[in-house]
Amino acid sequence: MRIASLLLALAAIAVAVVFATTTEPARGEGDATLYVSGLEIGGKTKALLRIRNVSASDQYRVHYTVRDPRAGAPISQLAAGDGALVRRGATLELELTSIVNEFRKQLEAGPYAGPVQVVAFGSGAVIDDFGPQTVVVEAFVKQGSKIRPVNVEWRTD
Amino acid sequence: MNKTTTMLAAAGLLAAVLAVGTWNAEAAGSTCTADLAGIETKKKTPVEVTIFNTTLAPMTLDLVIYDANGFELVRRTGEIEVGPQATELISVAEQLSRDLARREKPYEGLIGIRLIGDTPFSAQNAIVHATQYIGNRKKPKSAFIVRALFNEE
Repeated sequence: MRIASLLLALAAIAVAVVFATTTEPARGEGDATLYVSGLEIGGKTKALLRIRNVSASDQYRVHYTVRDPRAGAPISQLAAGDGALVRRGATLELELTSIVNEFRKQLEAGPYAGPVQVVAFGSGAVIDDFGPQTVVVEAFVKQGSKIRPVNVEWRTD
Repeated sequence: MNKTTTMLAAAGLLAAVLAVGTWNAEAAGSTCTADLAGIETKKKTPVEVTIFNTTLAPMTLDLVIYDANGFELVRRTGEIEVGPQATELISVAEQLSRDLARREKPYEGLIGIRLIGDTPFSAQNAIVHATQYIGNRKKPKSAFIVRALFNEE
């Protein structure tokens, strides 16, 4: 009986490990994390983030999460699920208001207004790591006809 | 026991004491400062400081605001708390006017800002910048970002 319980517990752990590893996107050791702060959305205020893949040979899946900065809680799909595929030379444009509001609509919540932060990382690198050497980032906030810069920084663990 | 043996034993003991001391200092963590400069606070040039904690541990920081001559205008000890993966936004105008008498005008002009905190606050774990708005905070004419200079002790 004891052995059966032990085996059952081990099986449960194995299932949990498999589930955790399959739901978490694979990240390369040298891949960097992108942090964008100073963003704001709501009303006529829009935030845009453009990510261009300038790698010589790789394509990446970009996993981004928009967060409510006060709590650090996600207000978009965590890590963008399977991620957005950005082929070599291509640019991914993220309009954060739509991303956040569509996600909140699924949760039957109203639109969001206020500061936001974005954390992104890439997966699928074969030769060149996802980072400042291979990815060009442009981000800004648009308030009516006025445009203001935001802060873009990379960190490597 | 001859002199050489005694000296070697003393040197070994000293090395051990130094090693323990170093280990203790590392275990206790280090203090880090983040300095922001080149910003100006006026009614039509508001400044907002952003502190982004990229770790899963909370950060508790001291905030000091200096005038153009290096005179300390504001000191908030341990008041800035940034939760795990959260961002704290600090309005400089609010900090400068908080302790003033009712009709007293807050300082206007060039300022320097220093944030001080223990581990995990560091250049690797935190993102610190100031946004200098030109015009109204809600509808600025323009803005620019100033990044912090980190120093670890």
